[in-house]
Amino acid sequence: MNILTLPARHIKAKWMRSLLPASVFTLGLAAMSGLYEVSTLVADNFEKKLISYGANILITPRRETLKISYGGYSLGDVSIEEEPINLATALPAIDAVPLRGNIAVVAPKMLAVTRIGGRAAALVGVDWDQELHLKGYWETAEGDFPQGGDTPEALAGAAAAKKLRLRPGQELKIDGRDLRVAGILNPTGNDDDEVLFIPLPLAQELAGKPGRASFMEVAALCSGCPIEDITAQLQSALPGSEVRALAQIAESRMYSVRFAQNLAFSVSMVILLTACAMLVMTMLSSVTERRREIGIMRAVGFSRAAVAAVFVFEALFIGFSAGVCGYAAGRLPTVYILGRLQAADNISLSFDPASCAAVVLLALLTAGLAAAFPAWRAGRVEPAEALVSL
Amino acid sequence: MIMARALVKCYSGADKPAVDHVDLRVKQGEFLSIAGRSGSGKTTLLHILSSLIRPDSGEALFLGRDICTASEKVRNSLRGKDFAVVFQQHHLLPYLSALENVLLPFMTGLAPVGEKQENAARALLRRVGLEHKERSRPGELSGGEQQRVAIARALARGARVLFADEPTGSLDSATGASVIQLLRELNADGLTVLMVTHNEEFARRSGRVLRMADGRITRQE
Repeated sequence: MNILTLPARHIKAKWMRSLLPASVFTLGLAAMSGLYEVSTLVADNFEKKLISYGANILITPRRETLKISYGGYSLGDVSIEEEPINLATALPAIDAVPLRGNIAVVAPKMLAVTRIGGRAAALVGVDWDQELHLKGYWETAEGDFPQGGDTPEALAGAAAAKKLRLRPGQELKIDGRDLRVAGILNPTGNDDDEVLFIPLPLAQELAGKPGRASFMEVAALCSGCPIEDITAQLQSALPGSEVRALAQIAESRMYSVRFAQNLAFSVSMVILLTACAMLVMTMLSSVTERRREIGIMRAVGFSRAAVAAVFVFEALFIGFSAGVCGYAAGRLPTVYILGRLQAADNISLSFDPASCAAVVLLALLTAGLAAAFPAWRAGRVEPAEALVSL
Repeated sequence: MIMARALVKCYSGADKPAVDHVDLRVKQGEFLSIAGRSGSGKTTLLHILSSLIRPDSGEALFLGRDICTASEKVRNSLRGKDFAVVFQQHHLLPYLSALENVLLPFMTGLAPVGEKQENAARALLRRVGLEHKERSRPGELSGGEQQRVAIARALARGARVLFADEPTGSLDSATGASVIQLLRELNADGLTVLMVTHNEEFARRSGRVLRMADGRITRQE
């Protein structure tokens, strides 16, 4: 038995009275921990899905611009491009950067031009796995996406298909190499409409640059670090290339993610403040109702601080139990909300001791703060007044 | 042991003082009753002497030390150790057992109540004839039993002075008489007792009676 016996016994004896603030507090913490978990999981998942809306980093061979003028005749600015990117060295270098875990897609491309049916055609060689991951918004108007059969397959942009009169299943011969049109893309409104996508090795062969890429598109996850950090690491890993962040794309993506997180945080704070106010009101009314008890304690030698401590400990007991129950209860809405948002794909909930400890600590801190004023008032009660007035 | 000089206490809103220039001297081992009608100021005087309230002026000395101007810490310490107060309404914590109520003065900090203190509390319950009720809650005890538990609690820390404010006020005469008898026995064991009462019979059973009216001591018997 010590001073903790008093709040413990009081809660036990008046459990119905303690149940109300504890329940509201538990609900607040459950909502808070649930929303936090949902926002974090959804933000991660959301960002992974956003990757399918294109790259946010572009890697190109380093180029040098030279102003040529001789004998009064000016050739203007001439861009001197270095050799295309060597994939045999570039891809391992990218794999070795410290923030590789934040890089979701690396899509190398080789550009080439040819003639099909007497018309000029722009060819873009791609790695189908990476490209289809990156271009999640692609849909075929006719035919299918390339399946990777024995015959190399092509995917035509909407405008290119119209111009070159291509149709799904059509066999083509490009510089003596066989190619089959697997599908026609729906219009995208960007450069993809104008080109014919073919396998990367074929494009490298047609361009006479095996193992090389004209440029690479990279999709990076930016929730864990700024995109500038990833760009800087890629630049240092690829000294012969230029690495540029498509900042606007990255920022708009992060805005979406942060908006969801901020919204969840704001709602959680409102709920927690409401629960906190409820606890303050309950504790204040408890101090008023228990003036006689306070008077007894003061009369038998409890200091003002000791009386205040009884009320603070009582709030901490409620806060601790609400923290544990709130964390556990927060898991249920998490599963429900993720299901409702259809965002539960590839998301698994597991017990995280650090999160649980954080919720309990937050509960204790909030309960302690909520009890501070009522406890101070309890300490100010004069024993004689409390005992004689009853 | 206790000496008061020119004590004055006036409550806000009152047109005359509750205690008006009271002088008093209490010897060690004395059983003193303060009697008077309701509103005569006897309870206020007891609260001043037991350091529950401070007077507006005057001084109250305990073993030569002024308790009226002492710090809150010193007054807490006095209430916890040297002084013990028993009220008319028993004032036990309803959610603690009889034994735990007796041990309440030891629960002021995180240090656990020791076995020695528990044994002393049991001895006090035995002393007031309630050794068989140590696990009972106040709601399960009669009025007289509750008052006995309150007296045991008051003495738990070895108080030297017991202040009793109408200790028989809410008890029937037989139970009240048994409580007075207990106070007499404690006094016989060396405890100084100051009791406020309006019961003439019980007042006469103490060693000395001070009569109060309008905040002043009017007579001593």
